[in-house]
Amino acid sequence: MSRVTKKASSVCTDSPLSMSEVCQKMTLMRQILTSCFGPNGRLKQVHNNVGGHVLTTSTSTSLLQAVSSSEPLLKLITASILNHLSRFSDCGLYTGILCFSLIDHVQKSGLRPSVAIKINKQLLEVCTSFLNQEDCGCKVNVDFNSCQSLVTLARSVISSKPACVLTEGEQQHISTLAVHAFLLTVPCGDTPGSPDRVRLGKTVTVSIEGQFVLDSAVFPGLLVNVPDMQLHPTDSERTRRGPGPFRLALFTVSLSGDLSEFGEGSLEVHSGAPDPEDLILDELLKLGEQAVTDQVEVFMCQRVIHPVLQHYLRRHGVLVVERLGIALIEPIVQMTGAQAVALYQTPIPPEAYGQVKGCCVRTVGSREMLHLLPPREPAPAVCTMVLCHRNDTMLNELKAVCQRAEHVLRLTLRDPVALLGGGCTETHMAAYISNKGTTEAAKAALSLGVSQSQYLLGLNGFCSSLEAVALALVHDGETGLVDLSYAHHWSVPQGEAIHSGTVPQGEAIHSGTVPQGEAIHSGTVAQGEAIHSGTVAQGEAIHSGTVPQGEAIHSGTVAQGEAIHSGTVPQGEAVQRGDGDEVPATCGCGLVERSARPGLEWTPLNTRYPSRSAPLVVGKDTPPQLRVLDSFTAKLNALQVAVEMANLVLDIRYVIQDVN
Amino acid sequence: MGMRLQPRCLQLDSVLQTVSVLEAVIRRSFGPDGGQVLFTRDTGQTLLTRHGTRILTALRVEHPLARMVVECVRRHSSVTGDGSKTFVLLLASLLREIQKHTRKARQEGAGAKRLAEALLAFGLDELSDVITVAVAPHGSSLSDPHTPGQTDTHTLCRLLSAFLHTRISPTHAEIISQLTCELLSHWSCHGDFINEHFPALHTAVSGFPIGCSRLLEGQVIHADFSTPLPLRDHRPIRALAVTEPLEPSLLIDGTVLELGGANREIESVCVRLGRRLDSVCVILQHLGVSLLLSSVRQSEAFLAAVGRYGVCVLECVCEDDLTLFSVLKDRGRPHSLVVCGLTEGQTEQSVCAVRDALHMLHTTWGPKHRTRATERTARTDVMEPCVISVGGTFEFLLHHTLLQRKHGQTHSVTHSHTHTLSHTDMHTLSHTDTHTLSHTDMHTLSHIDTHTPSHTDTHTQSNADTHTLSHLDNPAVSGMLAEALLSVPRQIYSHNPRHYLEAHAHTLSCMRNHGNSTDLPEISAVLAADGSNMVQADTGSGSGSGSGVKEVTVWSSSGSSSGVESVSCKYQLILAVLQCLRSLLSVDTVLHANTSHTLSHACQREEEEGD
Repeated sequence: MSRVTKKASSVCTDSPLSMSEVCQKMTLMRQILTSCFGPNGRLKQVHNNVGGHVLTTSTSTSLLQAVSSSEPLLKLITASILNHLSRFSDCGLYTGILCFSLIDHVQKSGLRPSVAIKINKQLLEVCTSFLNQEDCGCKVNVDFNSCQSLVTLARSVISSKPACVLTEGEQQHISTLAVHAFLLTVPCGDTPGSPDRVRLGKTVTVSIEGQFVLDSAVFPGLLVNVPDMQLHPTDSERTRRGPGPFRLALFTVSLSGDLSEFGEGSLEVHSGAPDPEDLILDELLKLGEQAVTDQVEVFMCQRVIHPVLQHYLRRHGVLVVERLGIALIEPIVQMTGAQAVALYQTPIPPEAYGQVKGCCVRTVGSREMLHLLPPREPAPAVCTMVLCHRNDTMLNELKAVCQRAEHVLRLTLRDPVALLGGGCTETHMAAYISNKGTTEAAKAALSLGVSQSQYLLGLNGFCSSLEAVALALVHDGETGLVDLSYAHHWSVPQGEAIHSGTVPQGEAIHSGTVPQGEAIHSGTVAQGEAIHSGTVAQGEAIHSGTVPQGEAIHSGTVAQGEAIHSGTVPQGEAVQRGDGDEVPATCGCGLVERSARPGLEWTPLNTRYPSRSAPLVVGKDTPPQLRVLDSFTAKLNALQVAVEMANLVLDIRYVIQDVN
Repeated sequence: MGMRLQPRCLQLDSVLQTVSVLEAVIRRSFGPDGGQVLFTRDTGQTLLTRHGTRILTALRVEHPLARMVVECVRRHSSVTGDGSKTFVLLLASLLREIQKHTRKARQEGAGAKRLAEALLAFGLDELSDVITVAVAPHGSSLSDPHTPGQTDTHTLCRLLSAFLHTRISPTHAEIISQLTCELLSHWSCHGDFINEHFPALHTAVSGFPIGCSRLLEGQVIHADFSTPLPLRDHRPIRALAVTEPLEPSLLIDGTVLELGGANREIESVCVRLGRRLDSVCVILQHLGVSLLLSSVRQSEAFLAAVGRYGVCVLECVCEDDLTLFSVLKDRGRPHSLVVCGLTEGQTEQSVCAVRDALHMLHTTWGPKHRTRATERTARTDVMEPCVISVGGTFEFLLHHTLLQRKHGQTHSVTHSHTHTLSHTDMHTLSHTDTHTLSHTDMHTLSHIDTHTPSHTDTHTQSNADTHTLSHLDNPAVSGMLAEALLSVPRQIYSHNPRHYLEAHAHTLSCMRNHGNSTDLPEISAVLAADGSNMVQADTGSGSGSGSGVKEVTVWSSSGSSSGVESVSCKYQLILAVLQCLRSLLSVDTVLHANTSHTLSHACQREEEEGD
């Protein structure tokens, strides 16, 4: 009789987002993700309560897999980010930060979830159609005639993973290798038989601990790990022999001669009959004989080869490699054109032989490896990437990162475009959406069936969330600025900012209260517009706009001379015309150069400046060297996933947890 | 020993309390403003749903009466695939009506059980006629007016879209319903085929937004290539489905291979083995087979051997795929549905909703459809596959007709208007009433009874004596049903009571117009996507269709056409609720026994089926 267990009733939570406990957990998760984001992100050490392995990482995949929450909402979000990563390998943190930020903004705005969901959905459609436009200002074409943009793309992925601990030179080296490996796996010319389909090759990664990162390298062909004892003197001789091509035979069946291969039943041997094992060995030797007559020069087996057969083959000058492991079989098949043989009782069919151009022994770090050279030039799409790093943790991270980079590079084959990195895509898109949304608010609100003020509130939250992602790149106390012409993202280092004295102004407006008092104190309140340029040579232009009550502009007491404030209006404008030293030479992605475009004006990110004209598109006739590029495909999907996930979480009214 | 009697006088109140708790949960995901319910399984899986039955079973309630209700809902929804949330709302509201009535007429001896029986008898005997006469003319037929026997695709899409709006997030219902419509149109059959083969006709992919869902031409086989397909020219591919290993293992467990003597050495055995493989390959080549679908795992030697002959193999193809594959050959160009979602929970929700939508269509289409539960009634066959606008139209119409029956034909419209208004007030009362029943109540409730019920008179269907009951002289019955029905539209418009009144008034005016005009306009009290009511009746545009039913298309402000729902599903729903009500109220005592192996087994089984 089966045991009858009583099921306990489920635990129910009504409107989970209104519970402070859930909100705390979500805030914590958001902080974790935000602090990991970008090249200056902070690392996280994850260790469990029973000791053991300590994981040091800042990548979303490792982090989200390691940190599991009991909170169903967080579980849902985590699962969706991981699912996105399993398809696109990039933009995991981006998805998480944007998603949490959207939820947060909707909660703060007090919009009804169903209204906010509709608005978010509509704005997402605006975003995706904007990104898919030909003349979209944050998109650049990937030029396959030069490696430049590919290397930038790879470096953006690699540099955003600080747990690899790479110097700038090392980052460049690894990025170049990643692009090299990627290019090697793209087959050249037409694939026979199917002109419309291309089969990408494989990159096999070999990781070596304790070497310098700069020793990492990419080889066309395959590096096969061969234990010392297997590299027989005759083999070394063989590897030295002149240029190929050599014939290669590949077996997946075990050639050990064991009877256990036959199955589960038992064998009954009559007395006087020959030992079946001897007979099998005879079979194996027959196979060896055929290999020798067919002039096979490389004999490989996924599993074990009987020592007698090995000896026989070596004596005839054949290079023997056993115990390849299943992972290498497919790359070998792909590279050599051999067919893996799974039966030794019948002769090897002639078409099963493959070819290698040659083989040699390479010393990689502490290991000696057999290098199989691809039979033809150009190499048919198989290469080996040797990655070196000082210790195991960093090496693992590096390996994962290189696989990401490869995936991201491959995505460009489908969509040969990339997005501007460094937060510029987000700020530019936010400015575009903000402008478009504000001008078309009445129409959009009507079509969604929401009031115009609701729509503007939703729009505001959406744009702020996008800017929050750009702001998350900033970790060292820098100030994130956005320029008013192109809406690109600029970050001002902390030290300089304090020195020049303009950023406290921005911060003040960010927080909103302190200078107000001072402004009133100064007493130089003018009706209408008051513009003041003080003692500073460059002259800070003060731009107060359309405030009717008047501006309090304070000049006397502050040493720097400038304190600008439009106190009574919540949407104060703090605009600085920058030719001060504090603003860096280029924006986050490197497309906008300050020197080339005089007259730029900046405002701190996530301050509520009044709606302005649509951001200009930077002409790409003479593109300067872009510093950061992000994968278009991955980011587009990430954007959709983040918004949909936020909508989903907002839509959840009730949680039922089965506690059995 | 070990028994505890509950006081009988509390019966109706406690039943109502139990059902109200369930109602409070269900209400979160009901109607156009309803949201999702996130639930975790005991396996740790996180799933999403707006499906009433799923929500109720996930609660794992312990109260025997609540379990009975959950079981009734489950059974109803497994038959029609629809209406599980409305079921609970209607049940709770009927119980409230009964409670009101018994309080009012205690001295008349109108017991709750008697009322429930009278309601059921009314439902079984007369409801069908009432609906056919009063409601069906206001709806439209699902079959194409121009070619009888064919389904009108436009109406079908509206039906599907309205159903899916109740089951998945409104922002995604559009795309999924569109795909389902396309799927149905591609198969150009009455959905039964798709219904039957749905497991093989859809593929769930997580990690992409729902917007990436699409229809693929052809059948998707859910297995990986063991040996990949050699790329060839676009010649037709011959495929062979096999269900057993083509190279049997030489030594099967428990057999003995005798070696020795002529031709019995191990080498000759091996050679025979090799030859046999070769001969299989030759046969395959002779047949021109280049694709092998195998439901079992094949040996490595076999894979390598057929690979040399350019045959590619898929192993462990699931049974559903193979069945579909084998019946496909004489059916045009198949299409299958690819459902994308962010997580497994989301794709499963969409798949589940589409499956139930197909089920619901099956119920709507099948006029001869009979279920065990409604065997005696068997009145569904008079009803055409008829649909009516969503937004409470059905309930308003039926409510009004029932009231007219109650008060006689002289009932004036103005009277009913005041009637409605007074009820709105009452509604606010009852609304706050149930709101106080938060989930803490649920908690206490679930702890009252810690044992499985020893006996509940659950599934007794209406027996002979209910039939003899004279319900005709009891106008209270139709009045009660009429009032109870209003709880559904009230909940639909719960976030804006003004819309409720507008919708009601609109339906009434349409009904009055209908009485005067020869045309039969389709009445709609449609809730637009925004929640602002876009009540419109088309009385001017005269694109009269063949059957004389004027098709009124109401476009909601979001541009999507308004939804419709099936009248026969609604009818079956009311019947199921009445049956459940009767069985609930025929229980007078809950006994708690300590040992009841056989029954708990039965419960266990039921529960597993329910999952």
